[in-house]
Amino acid sequence: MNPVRKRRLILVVGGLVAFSAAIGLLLYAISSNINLFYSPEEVVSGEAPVGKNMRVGGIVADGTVRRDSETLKVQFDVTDGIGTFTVYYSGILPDLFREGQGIVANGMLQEDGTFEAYEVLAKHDEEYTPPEVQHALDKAERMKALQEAAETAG
Amino acid sequence: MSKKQIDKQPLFPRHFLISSVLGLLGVVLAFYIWDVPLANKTVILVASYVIGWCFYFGAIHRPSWYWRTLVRWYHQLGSPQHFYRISGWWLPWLTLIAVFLLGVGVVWGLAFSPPHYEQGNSYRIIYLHVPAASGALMGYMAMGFCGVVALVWRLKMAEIMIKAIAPFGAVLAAISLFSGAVWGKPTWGTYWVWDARLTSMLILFFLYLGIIALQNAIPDPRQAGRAASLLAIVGVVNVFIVRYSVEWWHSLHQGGSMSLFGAAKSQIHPSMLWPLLLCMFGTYFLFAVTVFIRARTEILWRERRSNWVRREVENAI
Amino acid sequence: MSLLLACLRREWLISIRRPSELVNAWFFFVVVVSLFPLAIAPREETLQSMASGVLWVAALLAVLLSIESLFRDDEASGVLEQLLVAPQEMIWVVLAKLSVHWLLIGFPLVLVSPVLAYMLQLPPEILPAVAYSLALGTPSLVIIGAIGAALTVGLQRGGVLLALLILPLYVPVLIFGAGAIQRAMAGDDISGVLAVLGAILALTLSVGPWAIVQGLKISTGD
Repeated sequence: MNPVRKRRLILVVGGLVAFSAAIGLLLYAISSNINLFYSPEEVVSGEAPVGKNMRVGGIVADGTVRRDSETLKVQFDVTDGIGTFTVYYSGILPDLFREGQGIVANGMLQEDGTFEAYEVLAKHDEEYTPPEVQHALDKAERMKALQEAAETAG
Repeated sequence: MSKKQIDKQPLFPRHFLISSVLGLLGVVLAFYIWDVPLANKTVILVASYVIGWCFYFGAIHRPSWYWRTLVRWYHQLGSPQHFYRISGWWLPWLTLIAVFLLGVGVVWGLAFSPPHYEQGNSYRIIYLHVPAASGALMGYMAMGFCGVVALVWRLKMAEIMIKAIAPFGAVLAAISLFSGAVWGKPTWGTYWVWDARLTSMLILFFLYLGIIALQNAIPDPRQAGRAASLLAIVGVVNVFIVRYSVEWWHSLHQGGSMSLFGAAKSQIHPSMLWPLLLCMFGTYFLFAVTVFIRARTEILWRERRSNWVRREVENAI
Repeated sequence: MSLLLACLRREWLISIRRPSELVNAWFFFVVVVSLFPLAIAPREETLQSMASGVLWVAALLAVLLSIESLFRDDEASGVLEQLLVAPQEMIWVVLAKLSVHWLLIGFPLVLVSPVLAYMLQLPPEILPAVAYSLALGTPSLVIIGAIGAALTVGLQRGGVLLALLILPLYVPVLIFGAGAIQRAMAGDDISGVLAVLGAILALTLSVGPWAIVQGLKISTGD
C-alpha cells in the first residue's frame, strides 16, 4: 500500500474507533445512573444511598399533607404507585403544590427511610386541558371506579 | 441509455412494479408497528408513499429532466441576484401570512382559549414560550444545514443565510429563556433551575452570540461566512442536547406535549392546541420574513459594485 | 509515521525553547486557585464546597489563555500556509500540535492539581478523582479550544472573541468534570461521570482535528 493511502486509512480507522468508543462509553454512563435521581420505588427498595444529596421525584399522595400550624414545616408522602416514603420540608411550597401533583425534591435520605428536603419544586405535567374537561375526566373516572366497586360487591 | 431504449421501455417496468409492491408492504408494516395517532400516521404514510411513487415513476421515464431541474435549482439557489428577485416577490405574501397567523393565534390564545385546569391563566405564556423556543431551535438547525452547504458546495447564498438567521435566532432564544423564567416562578416555584433543558438553551443563546461576533470580527465577508459555517456545524450537537435533555436527564421541565412523528397521546386539548399551532407557524413565517429582509440587505451590500444592483437602485429611485 | 514523529519533534522543540509561555500558563493556574482562599473566608467547608468549581474553572481558563498562541506564530511566519499547501495531510501536523500542547500545558495542570486540591482542604482520598477528571477533561478542552483558535488565528484582538466562541462549548466538559469531583466528595461511584468525560474526549478526538484543519483553511483564505 502506498504511504499516502496508508496514512489515510489509519486516519479513517482511528476516527471510527474513537467514535465507537464515544458511543460505548456513553452507553456505559447511562447504565450507571449519573443523574442521582431516584424514584420512590428505588428509595423504598434501598437502591438510593442514605445521607447523600440527591433528587427524588414522584406524586404527592392523597391525604398525606400535614402542615405545622405555627412554622413553615410540612410533611407529605411521595409515591409512584409502587413505593411510598415521607418527605419533611421547611419553607414555602410552590403555588402548584397540591395532593396528586408531581414534584421534584432535592435533599437527603435519612436512616429511617424518610427524606429531608431543602428544596421542593412542582413539576407540572405536559397535559394542557381546560377545567371543564378535567372535571369531566375526573367524574368519568370516579363513575367508573364506583361501577367497578358495585360490580365486585354485587 | 439511448433515446431508442427509453422508448422501448414499458410504461411500468418490472423493477418499478416490484418496488411499488414492496413499498406498499413497508407502508402496511409501518402502519401496524408505528405507535402514533391514527390520523397523523395515515396522512404521513399515504402521502410519502404517493410522493415516492410519483418520483420513481417520473425518474424512470424522464431521468434527464430530473437531473436538469436539479442543476438549475443549484445554480438559481447559488445566485444572489435570483434570490433577490424571487424573495422580493415572496416577501409581501410571507409578511401577510405571518401577521395573520400571529394575530389570530395571539388573540385566540390570550383572550379566548380556556384557562388551564391547574395553572389558571399563567399557562398562557405557552403561546409565547413554545413558539420562541422551537423557532430558536429550528433556526439553529437551518444554520447548521446552511453551514454544510456553504462548506461543501461553497454557495454564497448559504453564507448569507447564516448571517441573516443568527440575529433573530438569538432574539428568539432570549425570549424563550425570559418567558420560561416568568412562567417557572408561578408553576415550579423558581425563576431558574440549573437543569439540563434550561442550561442547554442558555448555551444555544451563547452560540448564537458567538456566531454573530465571529462574523463581525472577520473583515472579509466570504471568509467570515465560512468561519461562521464551521462554528454553526460544530454547535449543532447542542440542538440535540436541548431537544432530548428532558428524556435523558430527569428534568424539571415537562416533556413535549405534541408531536407529529413520535408516540404521543395528544396531551393538549384542541381548544389550546389550535391557537398554539397558529402562533408557532406565525413565528416561523415571521422568522422567514426577517431572514429574507436581512438576506436582501446583505446581498445588496455584497453586490454593491455589480450592474444589476445599480439598475435595481436606479429603478427604485 | 515518520511524518507524525517529525511534526511532534518540531512542535516539542519550538515549545520547549520558549519556556516563558509554558510557565505563564502553569503559573496562572496556580495563582488563580490560590487567590480564592484569600478572597473568601478560608473555612474548611466553604473551601471544600467550592473546590471543584475553582479547580475546573481555573484549568479551563488556563487552557483557554494558552490555546490562543497555538497557531499564532506559525501564521505570522507564514509556515502555516506552507503546511496547508504541502501534499501531506495537515491533520497529522494538527494532531502533533495538540498532543504537544496537552503534554506541556494540560498534563502539568493534572500533575499539580492534587496539591492545589489539598490546599483547598479536600480530603486526601478525593485527590485521585481530581486528577482523573482533569486528565480526561483537559484534552477535550485543548481540542475544542483549538477549533476556536484555528478560526480566529489571523485576527487582531482575537482573545475575547475566542472566549466568546469557545466557552459555551466548554460547558459540558465543565459540568461533568466538576461533577466528578463533587460526586467523589459525596462518596459516590464516579465511573459513570468519568465515562461521560471519556466519551466527550473520544468524540472531540474523532471530529475535532478535521474541524481544526477546516478552520485553518478558512482563516488563511483558502
